[in-house]
Amino acid sequence: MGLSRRVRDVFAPRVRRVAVPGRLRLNHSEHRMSDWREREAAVFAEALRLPAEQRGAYLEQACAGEEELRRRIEELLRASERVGDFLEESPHPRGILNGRGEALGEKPGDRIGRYKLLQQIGEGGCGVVFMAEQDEPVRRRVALKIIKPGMDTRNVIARFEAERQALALMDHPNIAKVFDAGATESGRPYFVMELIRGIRITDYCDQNALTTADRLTLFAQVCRAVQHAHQKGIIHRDIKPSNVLVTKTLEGDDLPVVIDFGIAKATTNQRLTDKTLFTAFEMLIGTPAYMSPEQAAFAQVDVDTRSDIYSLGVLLYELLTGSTPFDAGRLLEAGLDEVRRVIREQEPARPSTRLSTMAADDLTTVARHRRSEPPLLIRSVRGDLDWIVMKALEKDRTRRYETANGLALDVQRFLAQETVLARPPSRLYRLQKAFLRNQLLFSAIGIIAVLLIASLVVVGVAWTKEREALRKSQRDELKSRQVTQFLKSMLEGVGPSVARGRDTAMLREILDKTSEQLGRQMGEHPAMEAEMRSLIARLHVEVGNYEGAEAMAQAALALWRSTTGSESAETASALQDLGMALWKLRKLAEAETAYREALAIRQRLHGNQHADVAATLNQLGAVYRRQQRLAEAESLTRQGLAIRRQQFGNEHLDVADSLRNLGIVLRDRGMQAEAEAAVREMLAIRRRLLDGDHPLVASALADLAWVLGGESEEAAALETEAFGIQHQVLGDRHPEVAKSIYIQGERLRRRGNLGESHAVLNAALSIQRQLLGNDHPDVVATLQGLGATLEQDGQWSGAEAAYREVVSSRRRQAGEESTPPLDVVEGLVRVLVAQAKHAEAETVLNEALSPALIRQRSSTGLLVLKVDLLGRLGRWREAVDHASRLIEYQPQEHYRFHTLASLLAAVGDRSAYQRLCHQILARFVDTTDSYVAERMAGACLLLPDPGVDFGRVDRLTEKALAHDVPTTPMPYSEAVKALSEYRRGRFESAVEWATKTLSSGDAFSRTQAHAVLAMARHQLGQEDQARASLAQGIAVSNEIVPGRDAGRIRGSWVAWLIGRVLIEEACTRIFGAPTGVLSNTP
Amino acid sequence: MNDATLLLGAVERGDSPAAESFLSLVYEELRRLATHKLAQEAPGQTLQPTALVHEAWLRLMGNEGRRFANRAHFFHAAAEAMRRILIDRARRRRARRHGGDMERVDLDECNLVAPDDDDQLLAVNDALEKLTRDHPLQAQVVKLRYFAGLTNEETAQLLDLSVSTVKNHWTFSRAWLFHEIRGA
Repeated sequence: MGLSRRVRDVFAPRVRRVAVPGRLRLNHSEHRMSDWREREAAVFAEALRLPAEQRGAYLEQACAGEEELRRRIEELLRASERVGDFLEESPHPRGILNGRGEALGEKPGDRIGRYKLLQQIGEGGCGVVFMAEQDEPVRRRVALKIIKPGMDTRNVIARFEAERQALALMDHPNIAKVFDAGATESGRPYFVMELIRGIRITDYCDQNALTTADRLTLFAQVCRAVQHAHQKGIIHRDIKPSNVLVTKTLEGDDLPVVIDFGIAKATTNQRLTDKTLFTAFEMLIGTPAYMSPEQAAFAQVDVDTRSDIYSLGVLLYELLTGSTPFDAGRLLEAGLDEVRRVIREQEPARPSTRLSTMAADDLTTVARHRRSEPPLLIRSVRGDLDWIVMKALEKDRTRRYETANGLALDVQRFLAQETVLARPPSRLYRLQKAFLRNQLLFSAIGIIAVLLIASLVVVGVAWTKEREALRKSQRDELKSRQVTQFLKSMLEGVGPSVARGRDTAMLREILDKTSEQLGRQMGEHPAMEAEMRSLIARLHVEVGNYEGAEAMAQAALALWRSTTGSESAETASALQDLGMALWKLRKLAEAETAYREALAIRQRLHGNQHADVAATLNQLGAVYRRQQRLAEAESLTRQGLAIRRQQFGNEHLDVADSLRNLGIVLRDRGMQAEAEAAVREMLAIRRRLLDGDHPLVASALADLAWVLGGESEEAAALETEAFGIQHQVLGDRHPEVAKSIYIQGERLRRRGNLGESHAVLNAALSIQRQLLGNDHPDVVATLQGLGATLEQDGQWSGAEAAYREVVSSRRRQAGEESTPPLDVVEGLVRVLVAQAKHAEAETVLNEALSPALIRQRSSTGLLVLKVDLLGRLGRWREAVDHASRLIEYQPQEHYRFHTLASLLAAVGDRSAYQRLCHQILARFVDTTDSYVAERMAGACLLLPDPGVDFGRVDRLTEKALAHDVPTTPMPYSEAVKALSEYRRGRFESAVEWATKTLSSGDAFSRTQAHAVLAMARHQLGQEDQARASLAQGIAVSNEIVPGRDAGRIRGSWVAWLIGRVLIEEACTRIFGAPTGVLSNTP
Repeated sequence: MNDATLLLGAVERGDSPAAESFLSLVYEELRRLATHKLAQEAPGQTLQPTALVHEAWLRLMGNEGRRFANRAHFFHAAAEAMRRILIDRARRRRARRHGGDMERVDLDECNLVAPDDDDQLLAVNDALEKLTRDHPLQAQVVKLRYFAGLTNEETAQLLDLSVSTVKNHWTFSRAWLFHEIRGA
């Protein structure tokens, strides 16, 4: 295509100044319509300027007798109220829009139920607190807390109601009563509480410079209040300074009051739906410093009174040192997961250590707030107070104080200078902790491999001896079972998940050697051989040798069938192993069969609620998902998850596995938020239960990145982290690692870094080919990515090779008759055409475009390519059918009409052409786009008799000329105008417009102009000039004919064809016959 | 003088093919800049169309930009180019999401991004076409403000309108589009 044409294709509608209504010549009804539109805008603007209460009256008057206009304005006014920040933020070039509008908040004076809001007295992470007045049944002032939007109000209130009775039982001077809960008109939950006019305990202590002893006395009162609640069965869950206010009794004594009992439970312990998960995060952002490790784990069912003890410990820490054990603000910079990790794993500094490591200024301030001197303060805290705080802050809650009272008592013992219960941890205990933490380091990894080889020798000798001497004795059976057990534990010990960082190649070799040995030496002990083979099959899966796994699992299955029968647990287990190998090889139908059989056996043997049944359900669900049976997949996965939760509780790796599969299926089904919640829960469980560099943690990270979508910052960071772990643990040569490399390559391409993308995808491909063969789906995916990268980079032949391999691999997998992915075929055709390999492109298109496919809309992309190819080759007649179909598929695309019009004119199918012109006018006569108007007008003027009203075509022509920059030449529009004048018999004017076109037009528009000139002059009797124009037109047209110089005109055959049709018409008029170019082309 | 300044000069003299070539130049420059920025972007930093558009102006025009008193042509081109870039991207992503072979999940995996945002962007674009038909001037305000990220003042200057008129048009268009997309 010529540059200008191409650009116009890309940028319709083109740059233009907006045509002001009224500047155009309009007919009567258009006048009315445009008048209506102007009034729509004007009345709306005026109405909006008025206060809301005057709008009705204004509209009454302004739209008198125009009911429709009034309705419309009212609609728009309503929309403008709800518009929020819609469109206020420009779309991020990644396509991210921010469009969350929030309802306006309540304000003083508003009524909520029977409460009148007086003034706002607080605002926090979870909502706004008002002082409010209640009229009946008693007149009193209360505190009314309105929870932020984003919660399931019904759920919150239901939870509150469930606890209302227990809350009513609480009667303690240090606890603020909660009276009521409800929902505001905007649907947000609110709580009504006893109004406490106090300030938060930490501020109070500092402002009044309470000594450490006074603080401790106050704190002990808080503990007793919490104890009271615990005895009534109420856990606070959100103890923090802003929930412990200090006020004065009538006697003038300090009175700490704990507020918000019952509210945290109602608002946080919901099922984690999308919104509540978000809220849980928000609360974490608000007060992570006070959150206990078990709360930070989000295992909320698990929260008990000891979580409150932990929070009390944090409060005490802050009262003593002026800071919390962990600096929440600093942690948050590292991200939520980091906050949670630290709370769960890191030992905080003891209070005295914290004080002594403070900056001198800070320490002086802290000491002054306690009427003390730095050295004195540190000394007073060191020792007993350290241990009291640290006991309350134990990660393991069984090691904390058992009750709040216990904590209060120890504080009082300290005040009375008695021996406190809290003790420094013993040396043994610390050693145990260190050992547990480093257990994996202690198990010297390298030694495992050496031991394994040694053990193989031992086992080999044992087997040999067996055969020679003790073959049949019971004792020997026992002994060899022991040996097998030993070998098994060794092999399992070498699984790459354990032997991190080791070379898996060595493990593969060991496995192969072991397999050989098995065949030779275990013939007499089929059950043991089966056990070993099953084990090796599983290990093969772990090192990524799936073919080896399949063979081994098949062998084990046959052995188990013959020794234990087809209905045994062992057979089911072997089927499960086989299913896994087949699944990894993506032999889905075979995997399904194996899993179904395993499931049936297991259900018969164990009933429906068994861990093994859950395992099979989980896998079968995964297979269904790959087969696109998503609803079934979700149902099976949920069943498996339910069984596992029931069997193992919530903290279990198998539960995590089920959650992972569930998350993936849910995302496939488009349930993004639920998917993310499931995957995050899975990651949290794995992080808690496994080491940070465990491959399962890596894959969990990658899963979360996937669910979040590949282009968010969080996703990119997660992927990088996952890749680092995988690479370190699994080495280079592992399918999972290769897949990660591939994903990086895709990312690089999306970021436009084509050179690197190419290199990275090549690397992934070579690993995958070695490990998985040439037809594995991973290989095919990488090839397709490689093709896309090369195509974008203009490396046509490389792209062609990659695309071709994808197509042929698909054929091998799915059979000759199958259709390869259409986007690959489209890519292949594009790169073939780019190399001018037209015949090959046609072959590929014909193979893909089966009659069945052509009938489907999904063939649009290929049909466009086909029409284009036929056009380039000058095969107009063949192109007509496809081009007609494209109009059905894309009736909104004016370009399709433009193309078909030129084709029909070229082949001279007058009746089809006239029908098309009717369609064009019906659809486009009112277009506001001058570019579309020009093309559509041109289409309708191409043949002398379009069979439609020229007057309506004129409207398009006028629109085409109503270019927004009046001084700008518009050769195409002018050429159309020239043609229009000619068709209406205004030959002089036609000459004028055509001449104008010649001054600025490109070769295509000049061809048209020459043709019109020739015909118009012929009509005017200027025969010589007519012939000269025709000759010029023919010369220009011949110069740019498609096929002769395809590169130069870049395939804009439609533009060429339009000019040529007119040339042929001119030639026929002047010489009585066409040049024959159109009928001579193939 | 570089190509861009030559072209813009021609555009200002009213040369139509030049306008098209210029648009293509702006489009390519914006796309290149966006790609480059996205690749280099520091975490947490967002990339605003307005910054891109202004940077494209500087890069294309260099010191000679000052010669052009009327930058309207450039910004019209930039708004249009930006719209095309965003829409193309969203369409491509959406096509990948819906179509394709699910067996190859891993490819989809990394292409899937903020589907709702894409949908909204495309919905806005469709609605904007309708707005262009009924209220071309208001629609132009939306393009400049939303797609090129221009301020009310800049938009007013370019369209030769008062700032308050631009604000009116903007309020009206947002309500109009919001209603079109979300219904009453």
